[in-house]
Amino acid sequence: MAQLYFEQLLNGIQLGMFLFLVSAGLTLIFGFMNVINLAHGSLFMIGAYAIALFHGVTNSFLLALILSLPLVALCAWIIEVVIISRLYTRDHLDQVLATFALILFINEGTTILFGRTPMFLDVPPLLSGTISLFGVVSYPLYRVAIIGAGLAVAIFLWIIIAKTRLGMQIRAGTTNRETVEQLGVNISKLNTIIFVVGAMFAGFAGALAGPLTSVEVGMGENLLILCFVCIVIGGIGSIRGALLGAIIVGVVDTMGRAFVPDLLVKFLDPTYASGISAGLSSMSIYLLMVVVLVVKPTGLFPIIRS
Amino acid sequence: MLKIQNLCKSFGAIKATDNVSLSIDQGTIHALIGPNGAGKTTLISQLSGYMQPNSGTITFNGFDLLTLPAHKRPHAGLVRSFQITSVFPELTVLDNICLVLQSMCGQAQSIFRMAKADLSERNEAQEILNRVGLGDKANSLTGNLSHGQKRQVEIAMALATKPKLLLLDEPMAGMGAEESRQIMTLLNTLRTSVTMLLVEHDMDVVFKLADKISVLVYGRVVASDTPENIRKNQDVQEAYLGGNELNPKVKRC
Amino acid sequence: MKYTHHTRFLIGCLLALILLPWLFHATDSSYLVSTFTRLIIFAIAAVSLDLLIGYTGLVSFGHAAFLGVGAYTVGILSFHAYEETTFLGLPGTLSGLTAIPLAVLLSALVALIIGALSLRTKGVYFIMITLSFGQMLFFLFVSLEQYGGDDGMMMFDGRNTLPGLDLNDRVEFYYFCLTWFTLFFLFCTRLVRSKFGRTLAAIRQNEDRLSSIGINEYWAKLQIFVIAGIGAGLAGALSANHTEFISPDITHWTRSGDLMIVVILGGMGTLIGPVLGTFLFLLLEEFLPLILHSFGFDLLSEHWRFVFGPILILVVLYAKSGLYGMIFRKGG
Repeated sequence: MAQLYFEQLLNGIQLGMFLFLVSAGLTLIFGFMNVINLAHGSLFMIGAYAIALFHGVTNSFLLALILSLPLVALCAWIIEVVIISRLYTRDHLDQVLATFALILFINEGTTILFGRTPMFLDVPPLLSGTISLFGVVSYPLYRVAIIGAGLAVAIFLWIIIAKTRLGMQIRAGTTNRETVEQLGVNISKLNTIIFVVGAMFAGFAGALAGPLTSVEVGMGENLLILCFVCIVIGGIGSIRGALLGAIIVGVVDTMGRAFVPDLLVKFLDPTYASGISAGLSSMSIYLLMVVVLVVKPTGLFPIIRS
Repeated sequence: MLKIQNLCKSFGAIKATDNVSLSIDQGTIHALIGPNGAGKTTLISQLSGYMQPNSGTITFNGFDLLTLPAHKRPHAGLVRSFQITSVFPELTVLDNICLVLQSMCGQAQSIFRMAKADLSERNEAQEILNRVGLGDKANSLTGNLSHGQKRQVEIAMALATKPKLLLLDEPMAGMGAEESRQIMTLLNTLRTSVTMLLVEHDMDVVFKLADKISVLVYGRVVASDTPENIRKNQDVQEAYLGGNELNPKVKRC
Repeated sequence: MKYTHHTRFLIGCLLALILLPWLFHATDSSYLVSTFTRLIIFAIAAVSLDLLIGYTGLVSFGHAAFLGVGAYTVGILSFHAYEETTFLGLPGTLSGLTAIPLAVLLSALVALIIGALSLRTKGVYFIMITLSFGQMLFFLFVSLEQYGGDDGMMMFDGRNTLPGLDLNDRVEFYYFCLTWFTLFFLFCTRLVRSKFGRTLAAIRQNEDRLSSIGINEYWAKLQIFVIAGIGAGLAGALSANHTEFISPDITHWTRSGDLMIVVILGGMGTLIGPVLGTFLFLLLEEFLPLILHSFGFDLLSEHWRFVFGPILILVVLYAKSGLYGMIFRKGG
């Protein structure tokens, strides 16, 4: 039983890492540019399709991964220059609608290019197989690698934001945009950089997700809504909040799905229990978010704008 | 009428309100002066319920004001105007006032009373606009008014609540000389019926209108006295002549 | 002058809608009655959402949730009537006199709960929390395996029954929906011109100022949130009757997105706008593929969203006043 818990905990953290990679960009873009970007999930999807495409050509996972990232960056750059840059001064409603429309366009475009049949990708041979963790549980190596990659990105981001000049500008811009503008920083260039970097994290997550899920149109949106939950729980604009929110959501969701049914069967008539538990476990993270917002309406780590 | 005791409010390390005790007597105009960042607006915000103090008490006509949510305070007779103009730009000037009037008679959520059909409400609103000198602008969109005129709307809105205690946060800021004089005359005629706490930078206005003046410096009341005595007060001289400009501004709106 | 212009337009539209079934009958295209029934039902939901987005400035991204509550109430009652089983001890029913009011009532209740919690937040948090509540209900409906789960359920006994009216008749059902639409539209017209409507406008323009003039803006927002929920619940109940099929898709977040699109496309902050927007959107959905096909763009006709997406972006960026603006602003 303890083994099972541990394994599910790891699965939860691994889901949390995906959520973090996508949420990090989302929250940066929101925090710095005050833009809510629904199409961020599409970049996750583009990453997944890119790796599937390049993998077909090169037959090497690593090479495909390396080739995917510039492609995602290119797409992100085009999106930023053509559409998102026009939304900075607009209200949230315009942003929601324009990026929603962008999803329609990207999804339909992807369907035209790749068709509706999902694509599948194998786990790279080097990372297939399992690894014994703490002598307790044997766990797929690829999933361990994902957790590692997520942590690496988190540390990388922390260094960038805490230690570099760029990070200083980002922090300043998040709390007090006008000051940064007055200091003569090229804001529009900074916007593009942040957007593209945020998009690359999402694309990277999408590429890593390739071997675990089917690559199909719409895969980004479901994840995107989970990411909204993460950053709302964590506090919009905060990377630290996004990381914590992502891990909480990942773990609660996974554990909920794994254990709520068993738990309910103990207390309820099995015929009712199965129905309720399915609902309850998929609703668990939303319930969690409601609780957080009722207690702290601006999330756990809100950023303070002046 | 209003009694503030040991009121404290801080933002991080900055004490915006530092152990303030004040009392405002019925029927007086009590002016609150002090350099930028002294915490005048912060104090008004706590009185009007926009901010909660960290500690201290405020009693209004004998009851505890802090338990009353912001939106109930106007109904109790305590109303503020804003230093930074805060009107409803896409409504006409008349509708801005009507909105206040409908709120005061508890009809803000009335679905079955048509907004434009209540003639007595509209007449009353027009009356108030005449008093502040905006009678001829009643049907203009508020957003199209000049800055000074919006200030007048701001005051008209406060008056429309028929306040017992009016908190005026720099009512004349940004007004032209003519408008200023008009408002000053108006405030002077109101003094018999309305008690006022007046935050103002224009010392001419303050010394002409006020019955009593309190001086706030760095969140602390350094003096509270009649205008004559304040004029002579050494501390006040210092606060105004000392090197304020070198200190960081903690202006809150 | 402006009002008579408006009123004339509205009466013209209403007359056209009343005469439509005859027209279709005469031109031997009666199937179009069903298309227009769908338009009218969707328009009720769009108008109700505009009360939030356009009039109050509340960007609610979970409005489809209430469509779902309305539809599932009708569906579940019909299901138990067909199976002759009970739900929480209560029998199912096909009676429209019970099912439709109950659907509306439950939507109001759900709106009250969702609103009470979401309205504690503002701005982008509000957008996201309403989106999440929508998803929560979506997953709730997916998990109702007794009622078809993912796949949804059919109303095997047909539409609700009403004394003196046969809803299973295409034309009678059309008029039934048109009546509800007209009533709801008139109610909203009155609402936005009422004193409450003025309060809503004030919330949209300068929310923070309201408490200083003695208005509890939370209650005002909750009240309009519930009213909008009722409108969408009604639309959901009618929609279930229309398709005789209920599935979680009706609460999917893209449905909420569609509703928002319709409001913007038509012109938010006007009541006619969302109706025009609905007609344009659903007619485009129906006919854009055909149009593209007839111009020889076969690939695009199947993927009409590929064309629609950019059009929508252009509308959002450059034509915010929507169709309404095009029709009415030109006249001054």
